[in-house]
Amino acid sequence: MLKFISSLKLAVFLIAAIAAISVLATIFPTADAFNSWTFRLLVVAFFINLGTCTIKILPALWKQLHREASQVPVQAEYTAYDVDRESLIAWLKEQRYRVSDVCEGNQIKILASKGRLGLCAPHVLHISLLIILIGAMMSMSNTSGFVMGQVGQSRPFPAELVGHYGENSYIEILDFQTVYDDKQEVDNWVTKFNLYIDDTLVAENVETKVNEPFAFNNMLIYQNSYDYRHLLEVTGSTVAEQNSAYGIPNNLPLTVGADTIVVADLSGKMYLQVSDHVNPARGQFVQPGDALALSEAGAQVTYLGTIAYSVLEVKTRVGTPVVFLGFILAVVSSMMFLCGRYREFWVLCNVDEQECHVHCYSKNAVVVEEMEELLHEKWNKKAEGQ
Amino acid sequence: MEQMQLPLLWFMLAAYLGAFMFYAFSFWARNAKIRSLAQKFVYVGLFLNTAVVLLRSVLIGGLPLNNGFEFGLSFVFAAAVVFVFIERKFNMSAVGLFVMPVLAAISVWLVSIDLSVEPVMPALRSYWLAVHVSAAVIAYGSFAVSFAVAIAYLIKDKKEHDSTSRVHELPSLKVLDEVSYKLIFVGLPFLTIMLVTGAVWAEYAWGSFWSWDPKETWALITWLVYALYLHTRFMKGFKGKRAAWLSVLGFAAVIFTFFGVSYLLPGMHSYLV
Repeated sequence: MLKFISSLKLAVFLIAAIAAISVLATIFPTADAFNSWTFRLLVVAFFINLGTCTIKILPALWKQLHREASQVPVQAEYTAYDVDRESLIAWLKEQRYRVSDVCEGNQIKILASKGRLGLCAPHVLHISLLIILIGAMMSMSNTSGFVMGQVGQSRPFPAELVGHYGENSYIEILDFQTVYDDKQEVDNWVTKFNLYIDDTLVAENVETKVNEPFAFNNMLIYQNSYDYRHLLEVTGSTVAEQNSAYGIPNNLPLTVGADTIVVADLSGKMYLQVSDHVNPARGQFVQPGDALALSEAGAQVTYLGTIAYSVLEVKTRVGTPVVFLGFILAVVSSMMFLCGRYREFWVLCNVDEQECHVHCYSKNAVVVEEMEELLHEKWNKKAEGQ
Repeated sequence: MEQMQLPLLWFMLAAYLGAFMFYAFSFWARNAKIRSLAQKFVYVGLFLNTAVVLLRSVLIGGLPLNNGFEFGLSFVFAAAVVFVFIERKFNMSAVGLFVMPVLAAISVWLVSIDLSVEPVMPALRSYWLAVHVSAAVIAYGSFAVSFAVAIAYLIKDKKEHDSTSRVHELPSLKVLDEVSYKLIFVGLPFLTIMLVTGAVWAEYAWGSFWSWDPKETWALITWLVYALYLHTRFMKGFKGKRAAWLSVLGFAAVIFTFFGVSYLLPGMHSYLV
């Protein structure tokens, strides 16, 4: 059973199945296959397969990494070379092999190995994938939500995050700026804010921008979007909230009693219009401070100017550091792959003989050929009588 | 200077097409001199390719990796460099017959799209972009040449027993198989780096290291295909024909990730085209 669970056959099937579902999911995105139980089961099965396979292989890897010269097998195909032991060892060291030797009676065994990083690379990559999958499973509990507000406003945390940070957590938006580069092209969008957790100020005048979210403990705050709002004040109305300013998006209506108020940005000039069901619509271009009467006696709307409106995404990041640890390992293992494939020279020689019997070992036949070529170039084969 | 891009690209395309024609002719005529001429066309193409890459770098004030055109340009450049390297190291110039059509096909696409320099959006103004896309360029360049070598393998394998066939101009099946494998062996770590850096960048830019965006998903599918290639080779001894077909499948995934997803499956990477 364990053999099957950790088998390459199962791994190939699972990889093929995950790939096939992924292909279909991108072609039919509405099916939401990535959140289906089938897909999740496949991923869990892959995790178990990879985990058992990795655990199963580790002892053998450990043994291989700690092999000693005494373990050099006598029963193998050896070729005799016209070289003494010291010269051969010196040459192997020159070739950056790790060399160990042992004398057993009249026979000396030499083990020379190279490419340990390459040997470990696939196993480190497997471990990194396991860590990434664990982190990804942990990150499924992450929640996120949006905080939207005008400059100067304090906005509560989204309902999704209240459970994590309490009901009295909020963000006070201090400023929003579009930053331009030397060519006057948009470089970034930056929001400055104060962060309150449970009514306590925990971060003062901090900023978040695209590609550089603000991090606080297990929380990240992203610059998600922005807009500009027209700020209006309604006075003298019995139906409007007293002493309150309204921030309304461009060209979208605000209803106050029987009146519908719209502000339109016409090539940089603001046009304020009021309409009701009785009188013809009336409007004018306005500057900050200009007012227009509403239909209710004594009521008026005053245009106060435009103000930035920032949309921030607040997200918990449970599991993300674990995923990042897996990522670091994956990159390290990728580099290890490029350090060369593992290989060993097994050497047997007699104390009183001026020749060495060498066997080239690698799992890859081409590497064995390379090693043999290298040997032939340097030392003469005894068998050829040279 | 912006106007110089298109003529240079046309000359580059002509050089790669010229190299292809001379490779084909040398293959048919079994003439080493013509093959040497084809090699010279490759060098001219690579020189012009380098010139466009440098010109674009000057125009945008950085590495040309920001949009589909710039990626395609760097992709062709990387594939050409990889080919020149293996051609010299493994003496496999005849494989140019299969590499040049790949370079020429992508070059045809390059001359047909918008080359104008547009401002880079804030989300792309990140150091992660350089690492993420550079890794993709190296990986894709290696895979493109591996694919061409695998095609050469499959053709040679089919006609190997025909003593009159011209496939004997190609390197031995063993060399073709080994070079195709080595290129994947080098390309896959870079594809891993591309995926990882892309995920880290996505976490900082979009708030999620993985969103199952079509581009991400297809990059993962590509990675899975090549991982399968290496696993079956190491563990089950898949070599020769079966390995060559996997290399072809892998490159099909690369091409779909680059072109297919960009045009057919819009997502968060839609700014590429």
